Amino acid sequence: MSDYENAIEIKELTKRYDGFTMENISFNVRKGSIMGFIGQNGAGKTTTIKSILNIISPDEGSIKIFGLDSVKDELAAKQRLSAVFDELPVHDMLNARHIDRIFRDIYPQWDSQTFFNYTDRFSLPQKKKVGEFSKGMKMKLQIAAALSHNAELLVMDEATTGLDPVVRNEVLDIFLEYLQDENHSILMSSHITTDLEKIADSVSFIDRGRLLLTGFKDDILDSHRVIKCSKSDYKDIDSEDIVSARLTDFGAEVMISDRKKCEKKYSGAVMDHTTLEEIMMFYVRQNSSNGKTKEWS
Amino acid sequence: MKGLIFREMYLAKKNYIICAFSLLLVVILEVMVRLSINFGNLSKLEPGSLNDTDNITFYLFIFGIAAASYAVFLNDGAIVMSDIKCGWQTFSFTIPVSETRLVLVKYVIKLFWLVLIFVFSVLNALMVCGISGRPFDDLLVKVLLGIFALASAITFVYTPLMLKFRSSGVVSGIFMALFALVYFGLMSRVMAFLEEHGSEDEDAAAEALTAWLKDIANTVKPYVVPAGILLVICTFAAGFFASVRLLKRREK
Repeated sequence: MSDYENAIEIKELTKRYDGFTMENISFNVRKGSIMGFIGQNGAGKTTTIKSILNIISPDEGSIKIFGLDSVKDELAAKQRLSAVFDELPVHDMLNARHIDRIFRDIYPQWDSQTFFNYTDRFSLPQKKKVGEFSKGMKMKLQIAAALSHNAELLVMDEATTGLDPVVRNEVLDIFLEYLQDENHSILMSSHITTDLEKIADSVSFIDRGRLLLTGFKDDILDSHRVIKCSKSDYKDIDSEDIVSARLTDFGAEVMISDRKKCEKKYSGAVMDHTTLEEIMMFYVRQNSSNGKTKEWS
Repeated sequence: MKGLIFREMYLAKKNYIICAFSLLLVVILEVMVRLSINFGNLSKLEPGSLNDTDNITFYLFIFGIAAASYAVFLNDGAIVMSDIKCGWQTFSFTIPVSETRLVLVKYVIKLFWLVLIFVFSVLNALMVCGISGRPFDDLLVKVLLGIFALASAITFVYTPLMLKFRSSGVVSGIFMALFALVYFGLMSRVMAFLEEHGSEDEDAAAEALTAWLKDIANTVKPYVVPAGILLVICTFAAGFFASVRLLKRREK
C-alpha cells in the first residue's frame, strides 16, 4: 500500500461532447479529507466522477487514485474505493441478505458483520425486497454496502440529493464517522451546498465544464465577502476585484474574492460573510456573462 | 465470481421456477394423454385417428419440452435489460471485477441452464419413448441436439446484441427479421419446386416434394451433429468476445 498523500489526483481532464466541453479540470483530494464537488446541474460533476471511476473515457488528462492510474491499474484502484450513486444500483427483487451474499465474493475485504451492523443501525430489514424500500432506505443500504469492504475512498455522485433533511443529516454523520480514520477520504458531488458546508474540508466548484474554484472550504469562505452598497459606491469598486455583482433597485451586492486586499482598498465598505451557495451563484453569473460584464440582476 | 453467479441465480430464480412448473404440468399432461391412448378414451378412436393422435402427441411432448431451452435467452435478455435500468451495469464498472469475468459469469450461467434443460429434454424423451413403446433412435437424438444447438446459438449472440442496442424490442426485431428471412426463403424455394414439377397432379407433386426433402435430409444428416457443435462453439466464442469488447468500450 502506497503512502500517497492524495487519494485522487486529476490533471487536465478534458472531455468533449456535442454541445458540451469539460476542459482542463485539475484538482486533488487529499487523503483523510472530504472534498465537496459543487456545481449546478449539467456543470460536469457526473462526467468528472464517471471519468474517475473509468465509466467513461476522457479525451485528455490523467487520473490517479492513491497513485494508481485509474485506467491501467483499474482493478487495484477499485479494490480501494466505493462508488455511491443517487440511485441504488440493485434489482428490486433483492434484499440486504442477497446483497451481502453477492458482495462477499466481489470485494476481498467485505465484512458481513460490519454490513449487518450498519443495516441494524439504519433499521433496514434484512429480508425485505429493496423494491419496497423508500428512497432514504435505499440510500442507507447503498452507503452500508459502500462502507462494508474497508474502502479507503468514497466517491459519491449526488448521493444526498432527494433525501429528506433528517436522513441527510444522519448520512452526513456517518461520513464524518468514516473520516475518523485518517486514511479514509471522500469526494462528494452535490448541488446542495449546505451539506458540504457542514462536512467538507475542501471544495471544488465546476461550472459549464470549467473548474472555477478549488481549495480549502474555510479559506474560500474566509476570502470571499459580499459588499452591500449603493450603485454609486459600486462604481468605485475596481472590476478586477469583483467576482460578479447583483444590481437591484436598492443598490448592489458585490462578491469579492480577496477579502484582505479589499478591506485595505475599500476601508469604509461593509463586508458580509457569505456561504458556498452565494459564492456558487455569483461565480455562475460571472461565468454566464461571457466576460462582457459581471453585472446581473 | 461466486457472488456474481449468486446474483444471476437470484434474479433468474422466479423465471425458472415458473418454467419448471410449466414443464411439470406438460409432463403430467403427457403422461395422462399417453395413458389415455393406451387404456382410456383415446384408445377407442379409429385406428387412423388414433395413429395420428399418437404421432402428434409423441412429437409435441418431446419437442415441446425441448423448446423450453429457448427460455434461456429470454431470461438472459430480461436480466440484461433490468441491469441497464437499475444501474447495475454502470455500477459494475466500479467493482474490482474485470469485464471478462463479468461476461464469463453470464455465459457460465447460460450454459448451465441450457445443459440442464437439454438433460431434462432427453430424460423426458426417454420417458415418452418408454411409455409409447417407440425407440429412442438416432434421428430423435439429432433433432433434440439441433433444437439445443439453435437455442444455444440464439442465447449466446443475444447478450452482445442486448449490450449493443440496449433494447429487447430491437434485438427481438432482429431475430424475427432473421427468422422471417429464413422462413420465406425456404417457402419460396418450396414454391419454386412445386412450380417446376407442375401443379395439375397434386399427389405426384407432393410425392416429389417429399422425396426432394428426404434427399436434402439425407444429404445434410451426416453434417447435423458437427455443424451443431460448430455452431454452438462459434456462437459461444463470438458472443463472449463481442460482449467483453462491448463492455470494455466505455461511454464516449
